[in-house]
Amino acid sequence: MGISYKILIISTPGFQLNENFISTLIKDRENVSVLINREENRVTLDINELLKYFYEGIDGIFVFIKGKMKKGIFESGYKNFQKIVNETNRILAKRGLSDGRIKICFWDGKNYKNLNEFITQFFKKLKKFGPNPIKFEKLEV
Amino acid sequence: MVFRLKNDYNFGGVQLHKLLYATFKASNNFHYRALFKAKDDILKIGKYNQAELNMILDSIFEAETARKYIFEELKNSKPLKATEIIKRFPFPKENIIRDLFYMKEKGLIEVLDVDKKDPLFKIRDDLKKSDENYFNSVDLVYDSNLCCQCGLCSSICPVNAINLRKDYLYVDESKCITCGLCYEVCPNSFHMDALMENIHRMDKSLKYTNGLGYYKDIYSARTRKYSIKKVAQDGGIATSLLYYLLKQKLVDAVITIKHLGNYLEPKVSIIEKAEELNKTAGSTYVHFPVLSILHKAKKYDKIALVALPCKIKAISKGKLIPIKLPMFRNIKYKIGLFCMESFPYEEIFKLIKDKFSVSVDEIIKMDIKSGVFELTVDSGEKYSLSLNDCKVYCSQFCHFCGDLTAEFADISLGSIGSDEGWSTVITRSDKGEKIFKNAIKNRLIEIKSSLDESPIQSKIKRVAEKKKENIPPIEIQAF
Repeated sequence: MGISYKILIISTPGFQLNENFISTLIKDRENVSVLINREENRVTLDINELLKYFYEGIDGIFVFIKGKMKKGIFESGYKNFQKIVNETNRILAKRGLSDGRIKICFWDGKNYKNLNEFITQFFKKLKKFGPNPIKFEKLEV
Repeated sequence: MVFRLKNDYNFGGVQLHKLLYATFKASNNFHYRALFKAKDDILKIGKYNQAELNMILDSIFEAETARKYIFEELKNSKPLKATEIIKRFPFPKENIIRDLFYMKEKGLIEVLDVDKKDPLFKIRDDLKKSDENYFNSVDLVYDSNLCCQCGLCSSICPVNAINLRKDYLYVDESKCITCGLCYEVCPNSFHMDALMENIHRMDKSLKYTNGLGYYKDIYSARTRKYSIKKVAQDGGIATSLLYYLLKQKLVDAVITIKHLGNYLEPKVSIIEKAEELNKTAGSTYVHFPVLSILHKAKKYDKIALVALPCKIKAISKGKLIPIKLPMFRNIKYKIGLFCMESFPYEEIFKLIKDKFSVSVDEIIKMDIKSGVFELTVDSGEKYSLSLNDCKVYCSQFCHFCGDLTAEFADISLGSIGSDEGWSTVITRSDKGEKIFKNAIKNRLIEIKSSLDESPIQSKIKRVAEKKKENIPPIEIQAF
């Protein structure tokens, strides 16, 4: 029995979370099973709710922000998501959960081909961090 | 014993799921949320730099996490003594005591037997559904006639939304980010007196007398420096101490009022040179927002401050609240002045016009002694009036203030209890005592030898008790 990871995918309106994408995520990754939860069409993001997910045992969060790349600059109406994610990662790191468990992906339809690379990198990072330690502690309790 | 708060929390001994739950709860803190949301705008305004703002945010968040953790742990327990609570948490005991009293002020905890050495703490039974208490902006205090015009709120406001002009306080709602920092630091929004009393009580080297508060020693003293003596209000001790601190480089600057052209219109100033201190001598009995320039003094490593008891209390509270505002970092010496009452800027003009037949321009000195308000004009003539007849002109806030002798200062000064030309000096902390004794050694100050403390004590006690008499309960008008 391998390690089970619980991943949450949060996406802003305009980002289509199709089944191909999901199967890319949950396909067997070296004896690691992945459970995906989705939160689609999100227009707001809050430090409070992100922290709550980690308290509930989520191992990592992937945030997809839909936008357009113009002259090398990403334009989106949800740019403050970055600020919130950075702060939450910082808080989590201070609590002993490694910095980087929440990953933002600025999504322009044109970079679909890079999707697999994004996911692979994020998984590599998560595996390096290990599962959310709160799961083990809760089991002990 | 010195009360040392450690605002860098170490959560090492806390189970992760409890810590994460407290962290999640802490992220609802409204100070934190408002400041975080407005972070970019605050940095643009420039009162706080990135490092300072991060320090403020972190201190709010960490302290709130600790409080939420303590709160959750105590939620279902019976009332516990402070000493029992201290044993249960892996935080410095000073922080726990501070946090318990702070939660009391936020309406989360009840303190039973507050006057006892080891009071009992209990989570309130009547808690509202939300455990996050929201503070309004400080104009609530002003509208309730409780503003002492200390100016601290305008100095710390991250978006410069608070304007203080003469006797008026105005919050610009178009700028206000409702972070609540102003209400938090305001000395009259909620009191930390019970905590401050507890802190003093822990210091076994202090004596206590009703009216004087906690203190180390009492002296009758005067300056030896002629240039100070000729401009001094009484014994010239405040100016002499500031002179000593600046000359010995124990501080980089002092904050006090400086007399310019008009006697009644001195300016709150930061003074770096001992030679400029002569312009600071003398009292005006008018409220000045001495703390409104604290943010301009951030650049110094060490400062001293001379102020009335209400302003000293504001600083003491500001240093205790668990928010690392850079304004409080460098205040090394608090020199408090005795105060029976003082006047709003406009009211003192009215008082002079209504009760004295002198022109404001002629006045060179004001004094309150033995229940009499006295004016001295440039011809040397003196005019006096019973203080009772002046009451109607005095600041509304003064009716609620019971602190005659600046009980939270390092050193308190005033004329009550001493002969003409001498000042009563109450030292209250080790550093206050040290600078006073060193100023004597340096032949800047002389003290009356073989002083009997008791007549001074009893006189101050009598006046202080009179001040504390009939103080109405403070009620903040909530709309």
